[in-house]
Amino acid sequence: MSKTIFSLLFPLYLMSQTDGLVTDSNLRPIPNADVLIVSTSTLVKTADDGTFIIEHDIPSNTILYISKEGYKSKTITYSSQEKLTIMLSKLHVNINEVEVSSINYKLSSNQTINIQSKKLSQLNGSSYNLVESLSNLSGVEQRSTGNGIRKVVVRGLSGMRVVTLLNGTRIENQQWGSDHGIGFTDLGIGKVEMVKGPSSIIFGADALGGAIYFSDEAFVAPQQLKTHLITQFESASMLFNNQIGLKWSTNTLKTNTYIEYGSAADYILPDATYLFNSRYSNFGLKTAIGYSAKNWVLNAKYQYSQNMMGIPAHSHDAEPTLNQLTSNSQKRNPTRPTQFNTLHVLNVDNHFYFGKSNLKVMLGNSINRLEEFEAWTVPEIDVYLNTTQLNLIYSRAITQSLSWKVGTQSSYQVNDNQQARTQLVPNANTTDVGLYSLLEYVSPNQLSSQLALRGDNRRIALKDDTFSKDYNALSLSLGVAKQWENHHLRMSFSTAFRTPHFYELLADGVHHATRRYEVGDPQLKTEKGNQLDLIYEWTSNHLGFNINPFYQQISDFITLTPKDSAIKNVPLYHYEQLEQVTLKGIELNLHYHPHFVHQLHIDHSISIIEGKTQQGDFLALMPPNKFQSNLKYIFDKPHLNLDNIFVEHAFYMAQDKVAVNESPSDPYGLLHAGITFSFSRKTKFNITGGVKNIMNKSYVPHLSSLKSYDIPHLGRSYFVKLITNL
Amino acid sequence: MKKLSLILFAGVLFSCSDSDDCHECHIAWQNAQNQEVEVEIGEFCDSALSDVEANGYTLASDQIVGNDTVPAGDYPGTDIHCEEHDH
Repeated sequence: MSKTIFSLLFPLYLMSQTDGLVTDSNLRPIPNADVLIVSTSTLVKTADDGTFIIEHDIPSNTILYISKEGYKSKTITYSSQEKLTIMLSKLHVNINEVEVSSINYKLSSNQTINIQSKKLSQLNGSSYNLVESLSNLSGVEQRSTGNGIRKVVVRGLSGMRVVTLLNGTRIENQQWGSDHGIGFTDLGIGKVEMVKGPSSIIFGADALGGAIYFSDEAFVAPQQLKTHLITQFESASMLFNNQIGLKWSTNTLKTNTYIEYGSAADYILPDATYLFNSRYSNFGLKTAIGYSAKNWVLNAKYQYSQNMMGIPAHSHDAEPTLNQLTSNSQKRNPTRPTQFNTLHVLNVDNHFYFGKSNLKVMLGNSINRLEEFEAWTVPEIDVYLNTTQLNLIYSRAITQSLSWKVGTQSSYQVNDNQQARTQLVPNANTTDVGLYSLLEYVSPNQLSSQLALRGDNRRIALKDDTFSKDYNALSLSLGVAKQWENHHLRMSFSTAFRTPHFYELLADGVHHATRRYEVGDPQLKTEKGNQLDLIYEWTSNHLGFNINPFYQQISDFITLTPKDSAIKNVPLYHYEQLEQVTLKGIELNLHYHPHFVHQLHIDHSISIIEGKTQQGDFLALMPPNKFQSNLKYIFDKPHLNLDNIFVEHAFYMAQDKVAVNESPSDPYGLLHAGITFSFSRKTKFNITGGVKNIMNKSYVPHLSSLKSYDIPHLGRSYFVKLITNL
Repeated sequence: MKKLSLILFAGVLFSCSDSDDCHECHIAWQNAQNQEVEVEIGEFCDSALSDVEANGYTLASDQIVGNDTVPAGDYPGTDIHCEEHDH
């Protein structure tokens, strides 16, 4: 009896140990390979002799993900404490890296819907900003206001049509505003997954454009303490950013803690003037605690982000000159107008394992405060958005091939205005309840399919009881995937919806940051989308490509339309609905790896999209077609501590398929290059340096909100990134 | 190396703060052509700055700015601009 009580109270004292070995196909040990225990998010490294030890209990049927650069990643399902031997074969072409999704714990090769998983380190290259890194993916772009404010655009859609999740908690940060950025940085983030289009049924309402799922870095293996320091500098905005990370694990508890501070001054334009008030700064703090017993895994994560962002191109003149918006000196200190964005995200994630089934209970809370100042002491708007979420997911393996998942998602959101000059967003409560069920079948002959259904209810009510409305909708997602020899075909059809945001329904006031008087419409209906998505992939030893056409139709598309008038001397905009719009395009990725230069990796990607209304007019703010090429030479045997050299080129075609009130954009090409050195003595560090926009090209991105002022983006800039592992 | 990195980080972390609570302010008045006319009203600091931005300013007499005459009277806080205009 006492033993039972003891084991219930202190389950981890009854631990087991699992030994393993990772080798190549010639049975030679692979040192320093990653063995990720997916359920507990713990990373174990292999020793010089290829062996590894898992010194804590892990739930049976958990997935172990084994990877090493230059080898084909592998996953195995852990079922007992026997000694594990894992063989990795050499990887030549990496068109779609085998990753385990944090969204549904499936391998990327077994996905039936379009989920792209990337380690953040794979995306970075010359990028020093999280959103800029994401825009290296095909079909993904960024919408910017200067240098600091950036939003992700997926297949032409952004804002409330793209759902952002951080470790499973949905990020709510007044994303209706085109000048309201993502709100956090890459601090402690290990992986990003992108679902393009509305097929992500488990994320529920609103994800018509897609979903972006950020996952934190894994914990280190037990009895390890690791510290790292990342320092970045970029010359065009004199940006510096410093991050410190501390990872520590015992047999029972695991913890990761990070802190960050970054600051950028006004950025230099190609004509050597500076864009006044494009400065920004950010402070971040993040901590995660993990605990795992034999059949229970608990992760508690907290993140705090504080951002100060200057709002450039501010003028009280109707048509300011470029001279009025630029400066001859580069300043960093906060001025006005300025946006302050504070975000707290708390996430408590419980995962219970019962033989062939498991239950995930996730409780999340996010508090966002958005303040916009034009005066020094009195905010124009000051609003708190408090969102509490509860998600339950029950998964069960019915047979070896058939699995079933059922889940609920509920959230309660309170929007609360503080004392300010304007109340642009009303005080409102939003309640969401969703229920979904998902059936997956994976046949032995590499055919997999998925059927998912979802029902949602959203209630929006103003606190003063002047408005209250319920919205109900049903969604469906159907996917089929087939693999044979070197071919992989994946096809999905999804229907989804997006309920109007209370801002779109009830806005009435001046949005100072965008210099618009915005008026909502309480009669707006729910947007409904249907998407057909097809991916064909082919890989050989040295060449691989995939081609991904898609077609999406959205009815009752909500749009902010300019009116030919002004209120309070500010241009008037109304929220309206278009009967139907279509988005169609194609994405293509190609990876070439010449046999005679094995260290050279060549990647190309093409993103083509077009958005049209039912009347045949083009949709506003559609990204121009993009052609990207990356060349990377990885030194197998380090010479002079050289690790790799890379060259990146992006060409944006002219965008002349524009809406009635929109101006076209010129084509432009950007060239970046960099070099990385690695040093491994007592302290291990690597340093990357390079040049962005080598040709000092003056260009105005089509999706820049400063396009109407003809303000170019950053000119040539030099960057350095130093990573020190202590 | 460890100590040096930490010292560098701490130095950078705390090197960029600034405290300047005084600002030049002006009344922003719209003329008949809808153009903004500025009447300088001096420098305001701390609580005086909060007060003028929250409660506004009383212009004692008409002011001639170029071809415009800005009338005397009470101007609300929203008409008082203290942000940096000279870059």
